[in-house]
Amino acid sequence: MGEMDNHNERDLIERAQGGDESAFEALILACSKKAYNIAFRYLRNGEDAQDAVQESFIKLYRHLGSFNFNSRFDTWFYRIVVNVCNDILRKRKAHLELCDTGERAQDNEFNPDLTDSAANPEEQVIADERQRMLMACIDQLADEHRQVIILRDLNGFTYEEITVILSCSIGTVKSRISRARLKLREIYIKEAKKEK
Amino acid sequence: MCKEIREYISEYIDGIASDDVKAKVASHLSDCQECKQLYEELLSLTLMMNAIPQAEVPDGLEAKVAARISKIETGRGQEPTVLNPRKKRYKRWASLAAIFVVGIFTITMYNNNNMMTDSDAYKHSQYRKQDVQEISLQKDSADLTDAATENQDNGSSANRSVPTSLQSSAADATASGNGESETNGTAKEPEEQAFAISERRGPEPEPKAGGAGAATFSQPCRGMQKETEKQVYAGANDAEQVLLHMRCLEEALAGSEFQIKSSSKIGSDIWRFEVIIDSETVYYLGQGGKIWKEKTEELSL
Repeated sequence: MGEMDNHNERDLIERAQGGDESAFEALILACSKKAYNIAFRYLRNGEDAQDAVQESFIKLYRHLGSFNFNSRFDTWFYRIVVNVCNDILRKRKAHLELCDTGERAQDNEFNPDLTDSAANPEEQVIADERQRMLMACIDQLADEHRQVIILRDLNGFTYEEITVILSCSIGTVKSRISRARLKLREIYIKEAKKEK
Repeated sequence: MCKEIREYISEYIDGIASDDVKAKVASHLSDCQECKQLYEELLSLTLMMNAIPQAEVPDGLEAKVAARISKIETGRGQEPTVLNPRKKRYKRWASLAAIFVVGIFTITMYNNNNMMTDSDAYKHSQYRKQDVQEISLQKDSADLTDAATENQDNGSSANRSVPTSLQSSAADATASGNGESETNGTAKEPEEQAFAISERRGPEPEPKAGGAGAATFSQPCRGMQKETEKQVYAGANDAEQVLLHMRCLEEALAGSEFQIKSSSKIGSDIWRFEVIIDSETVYYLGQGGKIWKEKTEELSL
């Protein structure tokens, strides 16, 4: 939504609230890339990410009338995306628990093999081997830590924006980012040693 | 010292540390090799993450969204859904507000020893009708507030006005039975506000312009303990706080399927909400218009 100034954005939202489909489509186009990236990194699966983004836009469509311009539109929408992703992860975990035969996987359902070269097509864009390893390490973080890393370090949201998206205080955001990075460093060092 | 500095390194890297913290960290890093190495490693990781390219949106995603929305509209055969959420939302809020407000009033009225029943209030209001009518002819609510205060001991004028948002919600709740509430929680005129509250206490004289409702509310209560009024206003304030935080919860959980199971007051101004999200019970706390998840366990690093 950075390209639109406040006045244009407000006009677009009000038109979309009034039922203007082209206005709603413009809102989708402005937010879809970031929304997809949040969902993709969060769910670690392109198909699930597409479902999450679709679901988020449907919810946006249904709840657009309740947007009261008290916050920025895009951060309000990304909150919906994060909540939809959390719902999907919760359902995944519940499904895993039902299927559990004794040897628990980590929080990470996919438990990616760091040496796997047959990467997801989206991952292929990541040429740098170190970056690919780093992504795999991020995938091993607990959900709460992974969430802030995805928002801050992979998608560039400011601390203030993250407080809105996650509905928490600035203190909580600072604390989570700090602990997430420290934990990520531990995992990365361990994996780097394994690689050697 | 190292433990404290480690907590601040991320803020330092992101350039959002306060001047004090910045100075503290910079000073420590120049003296402590271990922390300096930690800083360099975290900085390197952060820069690597920043450099990871964004994934491209798969082709056709927007088209799929448009198709699903079109399906929704075709299936409904109605005007766009985007116009309806407010109605649905206010129906839910209005019904919850109605339950809460009526509950607060009922409990408050029932517990007071000098409380009048509705019929007593009516009789008293008839007895005092002449007083009410005289006062209701006065020009504005400030006059009415003063008039009511004159007959009270140390009446605080701040306690006289019933919260606008509560009254609007209460009025909406009255209308919600028909599902026709079109309001947006905006304030109504003072006389309408107070009249909405006084309706619950039984028949009252018609309020006149200038907020006669304020006098209408307090005049019949002249025989009641001041405590009851305070309790009622306090109860009304509590209801307003609950509604405010429920609204915050709805915003925070936008996109999730959830149900607010219960709420309780755990401090002078802290509210605890029991929320069911996907069959899981989660507790949220609310205070001063802010809402946050109650910590149930320590974060493990």
